[in-house]
Amino acid sequence: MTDAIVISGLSHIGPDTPTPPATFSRLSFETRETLGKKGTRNMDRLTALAIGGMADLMPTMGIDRETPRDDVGIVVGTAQGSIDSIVRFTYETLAYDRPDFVNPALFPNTVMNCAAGQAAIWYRLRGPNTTISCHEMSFLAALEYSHIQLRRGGAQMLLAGGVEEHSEVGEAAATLIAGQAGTEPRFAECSTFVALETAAQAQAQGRTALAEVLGVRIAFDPDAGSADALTDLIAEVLDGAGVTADAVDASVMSACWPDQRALEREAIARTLGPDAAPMATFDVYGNGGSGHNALQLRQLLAALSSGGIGLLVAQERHGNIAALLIRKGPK
Amino acid sequence: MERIVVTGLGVVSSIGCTLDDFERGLIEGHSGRAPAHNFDVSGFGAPQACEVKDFDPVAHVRNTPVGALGRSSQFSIGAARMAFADAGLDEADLKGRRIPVTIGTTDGESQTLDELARYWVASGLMDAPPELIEKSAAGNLSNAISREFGLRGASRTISTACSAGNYAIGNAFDMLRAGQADIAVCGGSDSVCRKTYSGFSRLGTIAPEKCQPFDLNRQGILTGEGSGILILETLSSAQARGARIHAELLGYGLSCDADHMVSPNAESVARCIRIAHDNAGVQPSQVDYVCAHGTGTSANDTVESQAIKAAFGAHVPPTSSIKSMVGHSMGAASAIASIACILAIGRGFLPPTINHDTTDPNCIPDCVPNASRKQQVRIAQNNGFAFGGNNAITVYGALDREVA
Amino acid sequence: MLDTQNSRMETIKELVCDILELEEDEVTQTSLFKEDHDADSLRAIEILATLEKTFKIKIPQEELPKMVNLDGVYGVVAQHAGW
Repeated sequence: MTDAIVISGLSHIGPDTPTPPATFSRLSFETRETLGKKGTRNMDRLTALAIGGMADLMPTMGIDRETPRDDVGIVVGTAQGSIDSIVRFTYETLAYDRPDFVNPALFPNTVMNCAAGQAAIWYRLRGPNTTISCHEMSFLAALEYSHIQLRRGGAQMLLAGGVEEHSEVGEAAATLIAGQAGTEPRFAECSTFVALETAAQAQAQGRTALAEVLGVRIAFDPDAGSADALTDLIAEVLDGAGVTADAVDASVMSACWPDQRALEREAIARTLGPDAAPMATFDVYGNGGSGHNALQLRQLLAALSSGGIGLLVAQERHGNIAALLIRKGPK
Repeated sequence: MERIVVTGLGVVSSIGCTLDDFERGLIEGHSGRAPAHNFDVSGFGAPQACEVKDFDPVAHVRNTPVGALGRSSQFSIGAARMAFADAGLDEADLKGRRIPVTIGTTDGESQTLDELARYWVASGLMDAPPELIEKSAAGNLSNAISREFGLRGASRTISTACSAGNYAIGNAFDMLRAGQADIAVCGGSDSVCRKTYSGFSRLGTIAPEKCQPFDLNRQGILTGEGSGILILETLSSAQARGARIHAELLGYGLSCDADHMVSPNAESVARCIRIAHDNAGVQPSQVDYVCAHGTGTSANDTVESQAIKAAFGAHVPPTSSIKSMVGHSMGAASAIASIACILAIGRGFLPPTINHDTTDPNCIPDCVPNASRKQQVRIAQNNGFAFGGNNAITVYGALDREVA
Repeated sequence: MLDTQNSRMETIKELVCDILELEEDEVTQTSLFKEDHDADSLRAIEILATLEKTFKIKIPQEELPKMVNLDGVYGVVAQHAGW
């Protein structure tokens, strides 16, 4: 199928070893060391992580930072932008002698599309540039949005990713939420991007696909008390791809919160059978926030053999649900 | 390919919180500005802003605890409820349907984030109640609508700043075109907040008194707020249920400047106009009206005018900025402006640019100064630009343009 | 007196070089921020805002057109600080 959408590359900065419990894992990533001094003075960590996170894709995808590309765009999934940049800016208007002692150069960091816009400037990518906020499902929402954009011909290639920064405000917010939910705070910083394009284009450019996207759907479950909605969504994705349950070789669930984890497990069991043993991403890396589904995707790719079919599911705390079905490529 | 039409409109704005009031405001050139009092203005004197007045969330929010919702989510639900009613869709019939919701925003629940900063200053971040953090998530804006009406379609919040409303409308258009739904909810929402006021103020881009787009002596924006929600539907779905059709959504375009975070780029904006025209299948000469991004800043209005002149050549259509009336409602702006375009088509008038004294010769020649104009509008273009160089343009047409 | 002036000038120079991402030997009293050092309008406002905060003064935005190089900046700051 020539209009199939493939993942022709994946780049990643994030935890490669399991995250210990009850911590906020901060990557060794330092903005100036990785990106240099020029143009990074006022860059916040989220934006730097986004730019750094997609860097490894560029050579393979033929992107050189010199040539403007109207046919390549960026889709960033981020639940809140840099909550640290946003809240800190307001804090400074209140804490200083005068509110206008804030630094105007930091104001652009307080819009949620800062990372996507700055990355476009950095790599000179002038195609569709979109930021999507869907809590801990932001990466899958970005991937699904990109899938739709590519299908309509809105771009030749989209770099879709999920980015989460470790910050003072972010840590406080996550601790408060985890405390309310009665779970231990275990959060991981990460930035993961995939390059998406049509199979035909990847082939024409001599790029070997990491995986084909057989189907991706997101939906909302207003009841959030049963596994019915997620089960239906998985069935829809399998049917749409013409894949039967017994053809699925591996599965992964987000497993971020106890209640939703139970629903994810049930939906997978109802679809793939009681013996299905989905990987649980939270157990390995903790909660990757806006990039959590991307950590799931990496786990899934690692578990699949060439040609194997994998299922990724997510039931997010606010009622968002998602299912992604991939077939691993030959490499 | 399936045609996509607009069957419902809902608006919460500084010039009115019903569609009728909003339409009257546009026709009569009302101003939404008043002394700001819905956010903390300490240290700023007594600034003007275009705030929403007379919005009672309790009148609209029925299935969700109002206190659990931030101001932007309350606006979203309010505008959505009015849009469903306008579309003749009954709440009982909506529940459980796979209807997608896409909402654009700049700052999400900015007032709760302001409040978090106040806790930080007063005693520390960890003293903030967890409920405040829950309320502040940007994804709530779309999820609040999905939950309130029991909708099971994808629920996306697009946070591409001040063009986010048009982005959201484009996303809903794609969902319908792809056959993933028959009906979709889309638009944009934002609330006034200290963060945004302070930032624009520090950049020197807030007008001391009034917003005067395309005027030689324009001094900047007035911050605003609100929500604009559109119900989009496939033509076949609308016809099957005998729905009243406001207009057709012909298409949209996106482009990214990849040039500067805050300074707009005329070449990129012109490119976005051409992409939108191509996608909508219209020639520049067919466009009767452009609803400008028109913020009233020196840079935007000059650059936007250059881009319009480049894309339209010798025939620049009348181009007005409703921000002169409703202020800059950020992520809601291009959704509310889309509603203005759709009303212009349906009712046959051009919304004015109020507060206009002297047209800047570097700007577009006809900004429909000060008074609305009776005129048939067959095709209207709605411009939305944003920090990050995120341009998004939607194009609307009268339904009977080609096919009845 | 001259020492005070030199020290203030040095503070301004450090601050400007930091914002424009320049080494101090790359900038002269008269080299132009925009034309010679690629500064944009956001950098210009950042310089103005940082001067206000550093010297606890208020500089109207209308002064920006004068603040094109180090000499221009010193003149504007001196005027509004009453030096």
